[in-house]
Formats: sequence, structure tokens, C-alpha cells
Amino acid sequence: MVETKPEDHSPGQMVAHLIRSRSESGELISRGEILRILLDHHLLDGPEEELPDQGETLIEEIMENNADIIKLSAVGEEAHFFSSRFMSEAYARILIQKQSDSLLLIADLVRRNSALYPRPTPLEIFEQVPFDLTKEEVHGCLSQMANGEEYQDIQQTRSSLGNIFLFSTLHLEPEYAAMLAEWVDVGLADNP
Amino acid sequence: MDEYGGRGEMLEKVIDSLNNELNLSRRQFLKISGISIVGISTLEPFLAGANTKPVIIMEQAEGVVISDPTKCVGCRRCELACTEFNEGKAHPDISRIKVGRNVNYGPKSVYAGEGAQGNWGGGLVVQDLCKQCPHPVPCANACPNDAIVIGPPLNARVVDLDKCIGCKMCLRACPWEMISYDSETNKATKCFLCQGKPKCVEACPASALHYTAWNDYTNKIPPRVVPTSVMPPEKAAACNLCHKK
Amino acid sequence: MKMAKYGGWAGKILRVDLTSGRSGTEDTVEKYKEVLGGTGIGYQVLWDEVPAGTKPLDPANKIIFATGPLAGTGAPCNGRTAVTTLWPTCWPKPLVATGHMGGQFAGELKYAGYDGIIIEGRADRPVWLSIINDQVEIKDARSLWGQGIRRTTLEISQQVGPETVVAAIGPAGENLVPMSVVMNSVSHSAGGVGSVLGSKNLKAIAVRGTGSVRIAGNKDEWEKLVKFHLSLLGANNQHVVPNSPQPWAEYYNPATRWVASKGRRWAAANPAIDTGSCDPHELNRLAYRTNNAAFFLGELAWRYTVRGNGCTSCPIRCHTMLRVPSVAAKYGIKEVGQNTCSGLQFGKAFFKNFPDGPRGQTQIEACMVGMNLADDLGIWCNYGQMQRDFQKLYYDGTIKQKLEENEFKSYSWDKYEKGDPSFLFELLPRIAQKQGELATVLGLGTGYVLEKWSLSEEEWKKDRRLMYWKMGHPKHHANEDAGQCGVIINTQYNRDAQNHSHCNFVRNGLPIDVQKGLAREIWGSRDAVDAAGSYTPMNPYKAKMAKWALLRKELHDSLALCNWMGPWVASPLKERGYRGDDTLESMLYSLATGDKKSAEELDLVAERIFVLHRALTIRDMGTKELRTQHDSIPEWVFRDSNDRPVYTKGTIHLDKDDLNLALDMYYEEMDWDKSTGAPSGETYQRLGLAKIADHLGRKGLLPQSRGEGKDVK
Repeated sequence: MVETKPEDHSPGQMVAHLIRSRSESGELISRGEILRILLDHHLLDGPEEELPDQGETLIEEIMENNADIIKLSAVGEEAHFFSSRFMSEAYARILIQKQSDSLLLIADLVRRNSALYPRPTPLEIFEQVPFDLTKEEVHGCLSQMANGEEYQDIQQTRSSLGNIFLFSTLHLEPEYAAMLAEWVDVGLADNP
Repeated sequence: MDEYGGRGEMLEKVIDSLNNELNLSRRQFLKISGISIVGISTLEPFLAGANTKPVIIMEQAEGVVISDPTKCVGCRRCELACTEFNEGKAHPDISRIKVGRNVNYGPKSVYAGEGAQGNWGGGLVVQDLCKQCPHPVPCANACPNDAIVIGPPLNARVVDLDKCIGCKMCLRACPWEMISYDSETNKATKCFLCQGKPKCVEACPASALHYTAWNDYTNKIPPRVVPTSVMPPEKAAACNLCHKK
Repeated sequence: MKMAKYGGWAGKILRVDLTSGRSGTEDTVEKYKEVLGGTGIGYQVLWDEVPAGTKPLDPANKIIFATGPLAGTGAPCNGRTAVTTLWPTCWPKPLVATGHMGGQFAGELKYAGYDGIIIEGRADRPVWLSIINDQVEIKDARSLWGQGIRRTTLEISQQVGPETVVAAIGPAGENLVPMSVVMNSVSHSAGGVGSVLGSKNLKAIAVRGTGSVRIAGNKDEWEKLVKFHLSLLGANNQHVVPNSPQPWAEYYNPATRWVASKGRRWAAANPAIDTGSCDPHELNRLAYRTNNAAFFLGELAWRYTVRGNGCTSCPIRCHTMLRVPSVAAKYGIKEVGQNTCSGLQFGKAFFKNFPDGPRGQTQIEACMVGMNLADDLGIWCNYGQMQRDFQKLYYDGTIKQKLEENEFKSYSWDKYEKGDPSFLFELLPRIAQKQGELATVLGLGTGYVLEKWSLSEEEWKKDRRLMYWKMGHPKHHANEDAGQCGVIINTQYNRDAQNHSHCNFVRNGLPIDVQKGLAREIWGSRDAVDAAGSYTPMNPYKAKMAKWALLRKELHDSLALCNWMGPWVASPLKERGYRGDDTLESMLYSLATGDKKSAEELDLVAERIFVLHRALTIRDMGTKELRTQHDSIPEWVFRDSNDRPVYTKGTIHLDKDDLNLALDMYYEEMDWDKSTGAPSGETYQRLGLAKIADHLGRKGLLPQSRGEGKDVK
């Protein structure tokens, strides 16, 4: 649970607290929203035209004073913040990419999983929390990837239950991916 | 002052005079001779004014543990924490939170039939907890020795182990059967809220227990048994003194 | 009251002679401290008191229910009872093996004042054993005989009280069906032993205990240690990574049993409970991490989940209680059922397919019907081997060929082929009652099925899908999980290897690089583990891991810790680098008992227990040539369906020469003779088993010298 520190009600600490609560519930908070809150609650002093800059400065200060507050942004997109105390960078990255580029989200994840564990990624997870894509969106992405040159490494394999798994040929051989998909979908239940 | 607070001496004299050459233990003698302890009440005039005024708990407890049966998974870690972390022995039978007795069939035991709860029924496991009753406190009032008192810092109703003689009247008095009797120590024991950090609450892996500000649950949670205890006459006298207009 | 020298142990072993009707007690610590409890006591009793050549159903066989010093305490995951005896389905010759029973039995036995029960002889009429603290009585069970396990439990509980823990056999055990179980607390069975109890006319053991288990060490230190252990727990099988992305998690892995997530609810709770994001630091949410019904049966199972359930003291709750309203009207059974793993899938595993697929409604109903029948009749599945055999024998025409026409027609095969769970009502009761050729043969166990129907064991050993290993039993986490290490483990037992030390680690969900880092710390090198399907040749570190896995399983079975959870060498904690603690067992043991032992010292005790098992196997087989006669590997381990070379990514088959090397390295690690796989006299001496060495020496069952490795047949 995020504890309130009653002694420290400075605007900086209040914002840090807000970032942490959001992270704990699995959400990021954008720079825009932070600035809006600071303004709406009159937490910044000074002439009106200087307030946005003050807000930026405050945010910099918050990050300096709180090692767990991290900034993350997708290319060309607004910065978002999270607390590493409550959220992992891996999860934050999913949330960031989900806002801007679901294609990159899927490809990035599939490549990462193929390299790291290694394992293929079941397609169904993209319709679940935290990806929350619709079936149509997912299949749209698959079509785009099939046609996109930079996504040619993303391939599919199907388990004997008919479920689709994605993997990257950069890191996983097709037969290996097939075996791992079958293991997850069928083998584990058959070998309790 | 002996364990009966002065009255013991009187009792000894009465019994000795009757026991004479028989030399039986007190309990044996009383069994054989059929003297009813209640009859000793006729000695009231002798007992009145004998040292202690009866202790009647008036103060409210400040905290209480409540349970959510829908979340209980029947692991009994609460009972283990209650006894192991307080007494250094795993003794669920004397645990001051009671779950084991409901795990198999539910509070209605083996006669529950179709309505059975617990592992053999629909699954619900009820965790029984001490309500830290407001005045009048049944267990304290049933104790012939005023061995149930309030304990700081939360005014939990606690057993004073120095005074407890293990007579088990308090067990009979509690409508929720929450008092335990430890045969290894010959003492009663009950929930004392672990200085405000109840071990059971901490131990529960299903978040099925909560420690909260005291509230009166005596009229919100159905009793488990009909209490069958007797109030010592001195306490009865005190009730009359206080309440009679 | 005199204070026992050690904590942990209750102090007494109850010995019951059903022939004479007499019972008495022995001092646990005096007689069995050097083997701790559990399988240690079981093996020692069998060595000392049950001569070679005894058969499982002879009155001279003994069956030992034993738990350990940690059972009944707050140490996580201690609710285990080992049930050791001569094994009815071990083929062709019965040998020592152990069943494992969870539930409430271990704890209650400790509170009653006992660390174990040795059952001897045979009663002349059906009896049940009543243990109420120190009051032990053998009672008439004639009115219970013929009843299912559920009614038996209820009727005994009516006599002894609702908190009684009843371990009972059903009609299967009574009828001496080898594929039978003893069961307590609704769903917790020890497989394979039902007929031994049946042969002794022992219907049930009922225990009620109101005593305590003393913790020798300082209670505040104990509390700290217990909390430390809890902090390292993952989900079931010590999977330390959630199976979907969670805010707090650096990693996730769809393969793990950590299935909690926002939106996944115990939907049949009233009202429903969201499992949510279970941060590993939230110890009050441990019980929500695991839902094995959902893991095995698919997302639909969440709809029917009431809650988790399991052994006393365990926060994991690997059993799932399901409420499936449709089964009451459809099949006339209770809406509520519960179990886990093979027990959960007992009914489902018979069927090749279901009308609505492998993750639909019908497969769940099949599980419900299966549990309802099997867990009352007391039938065993042999890790699903009965069901795999049944499918093969049906679909390859053997059943039709072997049965008389009338008997074959008496089964509704159309229902079976359609995947109609009601078929189970025709099959399972007949197995329990030995009605007809099919039911009787299935109940024998695979080895005797093969023999009875003149089927070739070689054929079973070639077919990977049958999962058969040897001696009538299947593999259990072999090469598909852990390459050579898994294979070695599976060679060592006389039933399926009930060992999860290794697969708990390899399946824990961590990236392979992290696993290798941990492996280096635990077994000496990153090369001790390969990613599944990406195998490499044998090396000494894999042998070390195999030894560790084998010893720790015996240690857990004897301490009473759950080997389906431990060891705890990995944890979900990023701040620890996902490290667990390999000394947990020794810390818990030392503090609870007051007998301080380091991890190495305790592992030595474990080795003693494991070698006892080896010695028993040698003695009762009458040969020391275990390498060639016992530690065998089925042909399918060496085959790939596409004939790819070994170590190709995506294959799990292995190489014969490499496995010969594996056995060499393993025997070396164990300090056993390489050519026979038998411990030497010196090894027995080192482990304090001199009298065993003497006996085996006199029988010519000690290896003469350290010979060269021989080829695996």
C-alpha cells in the first residue's frame, strides 16, 4: 500500500505520491496530466506565463529527489512517468507502446520473449490486460506485419489445439518455437 | 490470601469437619458426599466483606478482528500463527481464532446435511473470532476469580494467568465458544489482540481477516452455542448494586 | 510434564498389529532420529522388519504412514504424509515405493502425539483404527465395508467428531484392486496403496489430536524464519513468475501456474472475488496466485472456481474447489468437487476428445464426474497411465479383441467416442468392483495389463505418447522437462518418480539466462541447466543437480515439506536477483527441533534415506546389477518423430551414449560403483548403514570393485 507521509505535503512529494499510486494500480501518468493537476490545484507560484516552465522544473526536481520515479516516452510521443517501486520497466514499456504503436508493441514483445526466455508468445494475450487490443486490432497488426519489411522476422506457429503463437526468427528457430508452443498449450497439462 | 481470596479457609474448615478420618481429596469428597457448591452460598453472610470487590469490566475494547468467510481457504495458518508466535508451540486446539472446527462441515458440524459448509459441503469456512464483548462481558462475569480483565493498550479482554484456576466456567459462558482451555498449562486463554498487530491477520494468505476499530458484533454474528455458565453470587450482587434504581 | 529433548517431533510412533489387535508406541527420536521421519522411517521399517520375497498383500507386509518434525507447525507447506510399503503395481516384482498424502492427516497425527503409524498383520474382519490422542482403538468396520470414502468419513466423523481426519479406502481398495488409493480430507490421496490396506481389512484410520507441536528455538526467531520462507514463495510448484504481465513484474511466462490477474475471479464465490495483481511482497494474497483448475482446464474454469484448497498450513492452495451447477441435473452428482493435477483430470483423461473441444464445458464436466466417482471409489490413475493405456487399447482395437462380445457390447462405446462423461459411470464402478475382464485388467496396473493380455512392453517403451517408463509405471518429469537430469531421476524409483525438485526449478518461468545464473550458484555451473528443447551433452553439473533433486525429495518426504513446492532455490523477488535460499530446510529443521544441522549435514541424512531405498531395491530384487536391471530408459527417449539429430533446437530426445555417460557421472556423484550402480560397502559405512552393508555383503549384493561403465540395454 502506498503510505502517505503526513509531514511532507510539498507539491513535489504530492506528485511523487500520485505517480506511485497510479503505478500501483497499473497505470502511467503523462506529463500533461501532471502539469494540469499542478495548475488546477494552484500548486505553483508566480506569474501565469511562467507556470508551465515552473511545472517542468518541478518535475525535474521530483525525479532528482526520488530515485524510483522514472520517465518513459515512445518516439515522438509525450513523456509518461511511473514508479519503479510499484511498476517494472517492462510493464511500463507495454503501456507506453500501447498508446502509440500497437504494431511495435506486439513485435517488440514477441522479439523480446523469443530472445529472453526463449519462447513464442500466445496471440490471445494481446486481447487481455494490459494490452486490451480488440480481435480486429490484433489481426490488423498481423496483416500489417506480414506485409511490412521490418517485420518479416515475426512468424506464426499453431499448437495442436489450434492456438496461434508468434515468434521472431531472429531468435527462435521455427521448429523450436513449434515445440515450445505445443509444450505450453498441451504438454504442461499432460504432464502435471 | 489464597486462591479463593479468603473464602478458601472457610471452605477448608467446612469440608475438614465433614471429611474427618476419610482423608479424601477435596474433589473426591465433594463427589461422594454430594455437597453442592451452590449450597456454599448460604455462607454468604460469612463471605460478605471478605477482601475483594468483584471486578466488572466496563471499558470498551479499542480494536477487534473480523473475518470474511468467503475468502477463507481453510489453511489454518491463522491458528498456527496465534499459538506458535505467541507461545512457541503449534497448538491449533487452543488457538484464539477458531477455524479448524469449521473446516470440514461448517459450524453446524456433522449434522448439517444439505446445508453443510466447509470442505465436505459448499466450501464456506467460517472463522470464529472473539468479539471483545462490551459490558456485560460474559466470560469475565462468569469467572469466579476475576481472572478475565482488560489488558493495555487496547482494553482487550485477557486472561490473567496468575488468577486463572482452569475451572472452565468462561468456556461455558461464551456464546461463540471462543475461550480455549490449554490442558498443558491448566489455564484458559483467549484473544488478546497481540498488542494491536494481530498475528492471525498478518498470517492469513487470503486477506480473509481484518483488524479494525472496535465495533459491537455481539448482535451481528449468530451465537454458536447456548451459554451454560453460572454467575458467581458476589458478581450478581454487584450487578444489583449498580443497576437497581 | 517432562519436556522432550527435541522440538518438532511429537515423540511417538504408533505400532498397530491388526492380527493380534494390539497396539503400542515407540520413541520416535530414539529409534528413528537418524532418518528423520516420512520415507526414512518407512524404508527403515521395511528393511528391518519385512523380509525380501514378501508380497504386498501378504499379512507380513507393513504399511507405514509417517510424517516429520516440521508437520503441524507454521513452516509453509508441511502437510504431507509419506505412505511406504511394498508396491502392488510394481512389475514384475513388487518392490518398495511410497505414496504421498496431503490434506489434514499429517497435522492431526502430530497433534494426537504421533510422528507415524506402522500397520502390521491382518485383521480377521473389517476394522477401522481410531486414534484420539493417546486413546487408540481398533473398531469394527463391518457396517462401513462396501461404503465409499465419503460416507465412511461422515459416519466416522459422527462418532469421533467433525474435526476428525479420516484416511479411508473405498471399494477399490477393499476389493484388492491394485490401482487404488487411500484418501483423506475430500481430495488428498496417496496413490497405489489402497489394496494393501484392503488386504489388511483396514477400512480407515481416523485421527483426532488436541495436543501441540513444540518449537525448540526462540519463538521470535521462528516467526522471522517462517516469514522469511513465506517471502520466498512463488505460486504452485514454486513458479516464481506470473503467467501474464503484471505491473510489478519484470518477467512473465504463459507457462507458469501463477495465474492471478485483475479480472480473473473466483466467480463461484459468493460474491465473486477478484484475484488481482498479486505482488510477491503481499503475503496476504499468496492464496490467490494459484488456480490449478484454470491452469489445467482453461479460462472457463474461473467461472466455476469457489476457492483454493489444500493441505493444512500451506498458503498455496493447489487444489481448486469447483461448483459446476450443470452436473447436478446432467449426471446426478454434487455440484461441488475439488482436486488438482492428475486427480482433477482423472475423468477427462480417458477421452480422446470432447464435442466442444479440449477447453470447453464438457471437459470440465468430465473432470467433475471423474472426481465424484474416483475419489469415492478410491481408484488410482498412476499419473494418468490408466487413462493413456485405455485410449491406446481402445483405439488400436485391443479391447475389442480381448473382450468377449457380450462384455464389449455392455459398454456404450459411442458415448465414449463422442466424449460423453456419463461413460465414466459405466467404467469406473466396474474397475472398483472388478466386474468383467476390462475393468479387472485395467485395475491391475500397466505391467500386469501387459502381462495379462500378452502385450509387448517394448511397444509401450517405444511410444512417447504413452509416457511409459519401466516396471509398470510412467515417466514423471523426465527429459521433456530437464534433459539428462530428468532421465536420471526417472531411473531411480520403483514407481513413477514422485520428484519435483528439478522441474519446479526449470519450469519456474525465469528467463534461461537468470536460471543459468542461479544454477551456477547452486550446482556449480551455468551448464547444469539447459532450456527445455535446447539440450546439450551431459556434464558433471547435471549429475550434481540430479543428486540434489533426488536427495531433497527424500528430505522433504521425511521432514514433511512438500516436494511439489520445494526446494526454494528461486524466488519471485527481483531485489534478491530471484534467488531463493537453498538452506531453508536446514534452518527450519534446526530451529524447530533444536538439533542444529547445516544444509550439508541435513543433505547427508537425506542421502542416507535415499540409499536405504537403493539398498531395499537391491535386496528385494536379489541383484546388485541395478544399472542394467533397474535403471533403465525407454526407447522413446532416444527417438524423434522427425528423425532430427539430438540437441537440435526443438527436440527433446537424447543420445544413448550420452546417457550412459550420464549414468556414469551420476553414479560417480553418488559414490556408487559404476558398473552395477550399487552403493559400495564404504558408502553404506559413510552413511551409518553398516548393518545394511553387512547383510548385503553376506548375500553377495555389494559391488566387488569400481568397474567400467556398461552399456544401457
